[in-house]
Amino acid sequence: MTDVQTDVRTLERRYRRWLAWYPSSFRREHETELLAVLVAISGDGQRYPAIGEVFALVRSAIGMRLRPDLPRSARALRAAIGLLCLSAVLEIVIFGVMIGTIGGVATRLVVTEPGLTEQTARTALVAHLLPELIGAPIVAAGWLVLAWANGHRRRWAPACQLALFVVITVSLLEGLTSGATHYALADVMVGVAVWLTAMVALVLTLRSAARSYA
Amino acid sequence: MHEATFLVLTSLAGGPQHGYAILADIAEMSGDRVRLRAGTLYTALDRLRGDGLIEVAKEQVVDGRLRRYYRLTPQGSQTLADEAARLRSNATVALRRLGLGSPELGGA
Repeated sequence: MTDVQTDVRTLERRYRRWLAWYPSSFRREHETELLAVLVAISGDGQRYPAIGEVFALVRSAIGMRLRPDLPRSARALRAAIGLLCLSAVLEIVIFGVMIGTIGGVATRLVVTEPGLTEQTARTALVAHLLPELIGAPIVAAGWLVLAWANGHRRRWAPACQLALFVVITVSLLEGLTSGATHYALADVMVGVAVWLTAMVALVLTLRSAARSYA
Repeated sequence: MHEATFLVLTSLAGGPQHGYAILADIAEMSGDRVRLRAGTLYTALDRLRGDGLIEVAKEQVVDGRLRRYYRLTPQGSQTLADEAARLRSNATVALRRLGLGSPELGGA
């Protein structure tokens, strides 16, 4: 084997490692020709992958893994995925609103509950909100996972989406019945916005699932 | 439509091409302003094929390596024509307002 052939084999082997970032279906279809192009655009005697090409490979591969694998005609499911991403953003907004309004809510509590001081009200609030404060980022991550799962037609996605929707419905009802509209209206408003967004996303997902089974 | 997608479709409007030729053609068309990376090109080709805008015209083995030629589908030709018309319309308006109307673009 000549030096040139050795260099090419070495370069191919090194590029092939980076191609492992792509989904297997893409690699099956395009790996051979993509490697041929990568070798063709390399310089004489080049043994290491070009940084720019490696960056493009990794970026494209990650984008491909995250992007919905759906035809353009699947408009309802694509819309549902967009709404699930919006739900995730709103969950983070809820987290911020809860943190930002603790002081105001504590002040209102002190007015309506004379036995409380500002400090005890704040401590009690943080303890009361702790599950929600921990839960909001987890639920946000859940919506994102469901967006990915729906985009890749995972069969478990609609059922898990329904389960998470039930969880946020219970959480919202609990907030409403504990007088949150009086003490923390901003929290409730964002909570209702998430609930409505998630409900529309769920309807669209279930309709798409029903059509695919029909 | 992203510029890279537009340029890939434009490259194939001239006839079937393989990956390396598309990269070279895009660099030439854009006066070296756009130099697509191989990974970016094949991601675009995969997506365009999935959307039914391009298809495989033929496959060859050259020096022991697979060379796959792509071509536009009728839907791809129509999509490119629509996008080109949209860009021309926008460019015409921009040039007219700048007082730089160009006859080639249909402006005055």
